Amino acid sequence: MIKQTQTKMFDFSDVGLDFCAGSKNKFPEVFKKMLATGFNPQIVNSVSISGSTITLTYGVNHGYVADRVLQVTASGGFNKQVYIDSVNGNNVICTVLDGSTTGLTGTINTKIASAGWDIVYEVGNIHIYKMKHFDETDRYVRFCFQNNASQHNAIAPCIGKTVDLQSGTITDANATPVNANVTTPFNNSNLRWEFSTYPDNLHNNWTYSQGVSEYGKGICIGSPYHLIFMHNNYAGSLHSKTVAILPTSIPYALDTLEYPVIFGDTYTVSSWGSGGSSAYTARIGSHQVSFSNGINGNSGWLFDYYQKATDSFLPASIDSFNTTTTTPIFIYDNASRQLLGWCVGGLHVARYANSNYPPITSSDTPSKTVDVDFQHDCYIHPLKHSYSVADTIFLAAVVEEVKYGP
Amino acid sequence: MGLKIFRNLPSNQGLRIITAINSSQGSGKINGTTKKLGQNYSPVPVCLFRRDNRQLLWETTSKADGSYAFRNIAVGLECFVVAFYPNNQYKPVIQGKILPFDGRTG
Repeated sequence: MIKQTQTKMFDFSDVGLDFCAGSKNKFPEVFKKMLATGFNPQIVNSVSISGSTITLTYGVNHGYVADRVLQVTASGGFNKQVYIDSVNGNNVICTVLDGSTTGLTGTINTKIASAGWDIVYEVGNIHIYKMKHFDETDRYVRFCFQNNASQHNAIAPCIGKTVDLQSGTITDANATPVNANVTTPFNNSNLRWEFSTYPDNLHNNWTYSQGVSEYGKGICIGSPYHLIFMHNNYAGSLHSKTVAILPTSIPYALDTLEYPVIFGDTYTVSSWGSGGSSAYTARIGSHQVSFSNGINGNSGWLFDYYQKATDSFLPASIDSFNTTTTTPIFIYDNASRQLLGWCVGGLHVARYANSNYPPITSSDTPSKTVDVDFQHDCYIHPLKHSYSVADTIFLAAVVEEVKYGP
Repeated sequence: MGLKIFRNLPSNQGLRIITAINSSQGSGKINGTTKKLGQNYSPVPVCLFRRDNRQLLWETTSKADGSYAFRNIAVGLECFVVAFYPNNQYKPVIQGKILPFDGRTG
């Protein structure tokens, strides 16, 4: 496999996170850990080095698992992110990607590395982070977390180029609409990231194990350039949610399009029900875009849910072993459905048919697989238009480096 | 308005992903070579079976250099391979008790 440290994967169950889709009181804290600070700090007892492979030995149960990225700092001068290959008891076996272990001596501290964002504002239920656009310029992402303890768990995200760090607001006129200065996540049909459908305070502090029977699995994948959540907002089948900020390749040099694309829920709060609705929207800055080519007219569908493969696998004459292909996510202007560009990486549409598709129940999805050519871990998660597999597409989040070079 | 050119990622050509639809499937792989009198030999039909219940999992044909490869096998699942000589000149050759390796690491 191609090991890399730019993009990280976090599981809601990871030691140091330990939350579920409904534990709204934990969300500001776990976002900060995943995006900016890292988590689960430990002190290494001893280290052995064999080429680019290092084995870190701890005196306690460290809680680390394979396929995460560890931030390793040593008093001898080593300060790098390394890839965890495997865990064996108190030993953690890692790869130093550049092969240089110089300075890995003295006191060694480790923690799970963050996605590489900076937190620049943190007051109450408002966080503002600094991330990178694909051209390496800064973008500010404001999250308004749920501050009503008895409502369901949701976040109002906003991406902009400028920020007022006194008031904690995005000041860019072309930022994601509505959410630049909201103080509660519900504002009619604003773009939101919905995590839970339960309008009560019973789950606010739940751990992963407390919530797994209600919400199933959940993961976060992120880098300085992108962020993806795959989770379930309710128990059972087709309660899956994917929300994301993705790097874009938009060839038109327009200031108003120089943002990553963000997508999430947009159904009106009054239409909220036990399962929530399935209305999604996407924005590049303030500009509404769609991932649908318009085959269903301007229906408001974010994806072409009906444009599915007729077979979930390539024919044996081309490739055997139940091989499924993916397509990039193309970005269309919402009004005209003219092509603007595409999502550069991180998330793809997996071409499944209405049979032989991956799991759709909350206890089993997102499901993990690998890609054939690069052996990257891939997480597959359904995104529905209705409670029918025929109206459902499958998204593939790939733990891949989304940007090569400067 | 100008145009910008970005470098493309390999994955944007489209990925091929493994779909495991039962407990026999997963990220494991089994590779081998078909030989006759010590020399690489092809094309040879090769079948992969579960060892515990003799269920046929996959079938392939060795390439011109004699190599064959199976993927989408559960890691740790004991298997055996049967290679059939073309035209039935000889008895099939069996290689028993093969453990798939984790395709993510090799």
